[in-house]
Amino acid sequence: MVQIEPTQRRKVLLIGWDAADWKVIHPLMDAGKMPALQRLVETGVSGNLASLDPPMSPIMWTSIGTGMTADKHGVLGFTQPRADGKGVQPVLASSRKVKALWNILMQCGLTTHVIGWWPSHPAEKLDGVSISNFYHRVHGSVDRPSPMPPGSVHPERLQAILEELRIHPQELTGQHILPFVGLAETIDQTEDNRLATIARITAECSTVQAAATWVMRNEPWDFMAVYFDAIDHYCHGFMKFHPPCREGIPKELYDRYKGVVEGGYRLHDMMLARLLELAGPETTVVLCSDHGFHPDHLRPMKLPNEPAGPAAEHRHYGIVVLNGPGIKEDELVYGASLLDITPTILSLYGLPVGEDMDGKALVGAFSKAQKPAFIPSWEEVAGASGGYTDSELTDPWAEQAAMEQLIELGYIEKPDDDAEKAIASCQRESKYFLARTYIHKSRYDKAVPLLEELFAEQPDQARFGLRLAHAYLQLEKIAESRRITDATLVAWEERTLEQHRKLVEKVRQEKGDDALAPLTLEELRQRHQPTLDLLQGSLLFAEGKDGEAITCLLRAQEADRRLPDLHNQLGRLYLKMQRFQDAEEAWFQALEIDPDSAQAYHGLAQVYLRSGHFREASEAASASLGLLFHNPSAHLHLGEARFRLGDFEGAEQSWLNAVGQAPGMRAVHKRLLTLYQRHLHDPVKALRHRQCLDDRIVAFDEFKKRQGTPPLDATTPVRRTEGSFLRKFDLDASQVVTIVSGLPRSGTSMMMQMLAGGGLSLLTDGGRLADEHNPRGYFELEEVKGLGGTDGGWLEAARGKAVKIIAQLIENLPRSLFYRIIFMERNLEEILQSQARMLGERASMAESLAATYQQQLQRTVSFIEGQANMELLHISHQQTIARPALVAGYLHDFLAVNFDINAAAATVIPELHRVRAGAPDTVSEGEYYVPQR
Amino acid sequence: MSKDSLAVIPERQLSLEDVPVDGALGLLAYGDIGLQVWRDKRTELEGDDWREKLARELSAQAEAVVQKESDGTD
Repeated sequence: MVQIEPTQRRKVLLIGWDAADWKVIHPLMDAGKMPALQRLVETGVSGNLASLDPPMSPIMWTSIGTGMTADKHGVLGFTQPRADGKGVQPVLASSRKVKALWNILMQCGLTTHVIGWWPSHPAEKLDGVSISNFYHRVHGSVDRPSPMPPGSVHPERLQAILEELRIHPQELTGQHILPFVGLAETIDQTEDNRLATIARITAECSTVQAAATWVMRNEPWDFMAVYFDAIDHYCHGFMKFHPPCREGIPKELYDRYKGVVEGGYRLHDMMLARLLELAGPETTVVLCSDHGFHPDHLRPMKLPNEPAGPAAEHRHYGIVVLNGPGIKEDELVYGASLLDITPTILSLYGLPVGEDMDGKALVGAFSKAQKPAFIPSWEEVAGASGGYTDSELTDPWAEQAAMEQLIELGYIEKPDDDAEKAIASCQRESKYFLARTYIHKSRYDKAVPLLEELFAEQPDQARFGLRLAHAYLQLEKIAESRRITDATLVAWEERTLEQHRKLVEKVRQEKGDDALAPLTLEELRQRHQPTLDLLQGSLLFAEGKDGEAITCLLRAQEADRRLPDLHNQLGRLYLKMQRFQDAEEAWFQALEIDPDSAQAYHGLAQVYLRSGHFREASEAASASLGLLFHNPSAHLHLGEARFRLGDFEGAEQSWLNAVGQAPGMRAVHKRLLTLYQRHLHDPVKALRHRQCLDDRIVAFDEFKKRQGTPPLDATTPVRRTEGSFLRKFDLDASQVVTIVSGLPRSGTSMMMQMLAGGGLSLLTDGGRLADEHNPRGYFELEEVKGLGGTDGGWLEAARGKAVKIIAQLIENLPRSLFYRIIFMERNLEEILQSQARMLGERASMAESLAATYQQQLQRTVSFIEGQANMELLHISHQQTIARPALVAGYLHDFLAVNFDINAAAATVIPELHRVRAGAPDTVSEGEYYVPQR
Repeated sequence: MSKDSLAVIPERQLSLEDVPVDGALGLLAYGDIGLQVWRDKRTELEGDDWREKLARELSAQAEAVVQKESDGTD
């Protein structure tokens, strides 16, 4: 069993505010109405948190809690089929196929509490307290009893206490409602039941707060996650009344309910203040939301008539705030995604991030520089994690299939029609959400088969057809896209006309007159002309019919200037037609409608790039990526702009980001190939991108560097980086330069002697003579000292030989050669003592010197590990003296040349190495080494 | 009634004297202690069984709705 323990002890409190949005928060903070959050922001790091598609809360909160997208974590919607096949039920946590953050932390020995997370029912058997998202829910009407559902609380000993903390909406009084609705007393609740809605939401979130505060006061913890869904609920019910008053909202209703959203946010700020008080200053706090909620002119006038249609009110950016120990103060974070929360918290504990996670650790927010560590997957780590046992883990879809087979075989009753319809609808929506997840990840190839199935089943559902057409378009299957679009439009028209005919008939029957006239096809098309024009224009554009496309798009613009995506589409078309000024204007208009449009900034970057304004292009691309970091194309364009500005390192970073996010982007590999060949003079890296272009499999991961490794000891006398460039690049050993490195007095001269003894030629000028400190010589070369100041051309002569270069100069090695680096590791205290003895009165024994050396060594090793033209063998100085034959054997393997192990070992004379910290080593009798070649 | 109930509860132990019988959002935001002290206040003024009464009322309302629905289907 792999046992992983946190390297940093700390407390972390993760607070979830569903749908919280800076656009609402900033004016409230400016007015001093959210003081707790304001303090958190001003003394921490904050920013936008990019959401995912589909923007459904159970899917996204599971992504926040796992660092993975829905195709991996398995939660695919609001509902799932019931196990008995008789309908559907709210989605359960047992649908989650992977470990959540709290499971991982529990495995690492941390005490974790999770409260209200969506979905988290039934409560997981954590070693702390687990309270499910069914616990606080008020079931049915607010005038009915609402008992606590079984399975809501773990451990059992707390059930009675926590049940007592549940609040029923009927307990609340006018004092709880007035802060939301000042005119509450004037409302006739038999006519308008919105006050009951406010009471229900308020009771539910107050229940979560009561449970959370009780747990914080009474149960010890290392990690705690608390989730509040109330802001989302206040917003869905009342954002339409939020100031400024929207067209079409009755004045009377506006006056009544304009304060509900503000009241909801202020209540959450008060709850936050209490949570922070209980958490204490020693706790690192992470506050986040899964998406925002349009509070302004972008509020949709009408919601789509489809399942989960209200999600159209969601904004693409949520919020994130980090505060407390380990976090910078008063800074902004850019490009964060909700997938980053789990990797960030793991890194805060010094724990490795799973390579199967889709997010990244936001280490830029950390007060101390930290390189995230990685493991392939936490799923492979065994041990109690508080999740569900295999028997408790249900795959609702597999279960449903099993149910259907049992029904077919006559073993169980067939569900009634409504249940059957409900299950079919649930399965359809989950498939649709999975397809959207794939589209969001640019995996159009995986989305197409799912959407084809859905479209075949329900061709009149425009949402299926249009997304399928979009996926085909992205796969450059234009004819398929056209076929689907045309079929979708015909089916949609027929369906809409049929629905209208039924409505007319209903009105006629109810009112007995012809108040509503039947709708003709022409009228229907006229009514939806702008949307249809936008759709046709986009498709014509893809088909290369630019003239017809522009006619359609301009007609749409004339009819409805605020049509979503219209200006982006116009911008793209103008860009293609090289009408840069018009394209710029189109994207400016897109930004006027939505100042946070990453797409519009990206469009502007392309305009400026194409028109030769590279500085502006760089700024616009950076702005786009600041809003939405996961956009390989924007990274490509930022790299392009930086390249044109002569910032080759910046271009390299951007292009590496692009291929990191989309490894198949050939255009970027081409650019990197050229960059490394012509500008950065790094043939090894160039070769890697050549291989990518040749479709050869190359492990490509510039971002996920391995964590620091423990020091060498008797059980691990040497450590070697994996792989061999000899095999990878088909090199001959005579082409490689062998370097002996480390700090001065770390045993580099001893190693040079060993190499010479083993038969390797040395490159040394013999200028520095042997003395009492190195009785057998220093094996140095004068030119080495000039590394960095000269081009290092003299190293050509070192091919097939060994040369001694101290650690601090390694970064200056020319990138055009291949190096094997033997890195001597020695106790720092011994090194300092040895240096002091050598330097006498000139020696510095400043305490800071050891720390500086340590940092330099870490930086150098990290640098070497990142270079494809360097291989590294760490060797323990102490073990070389204690067990020279063993170490010589490892040298034999590493150097891949004829190397005399015994002769090399014989050069080591323990008596010459006097300065030793700690007890002397013993050499095991009979210890020997078997060469592996 | 005013909007004063949006004021943050001071960071100190709450006592019954401080608590309005109708409660306040600030008390709910304070969490379990705020809730408990408000419930205690109501108990002090309305008697030990006010919560049972509320539960009985809710059950009676629920039964009435069920009965009404049942009558409607007959």
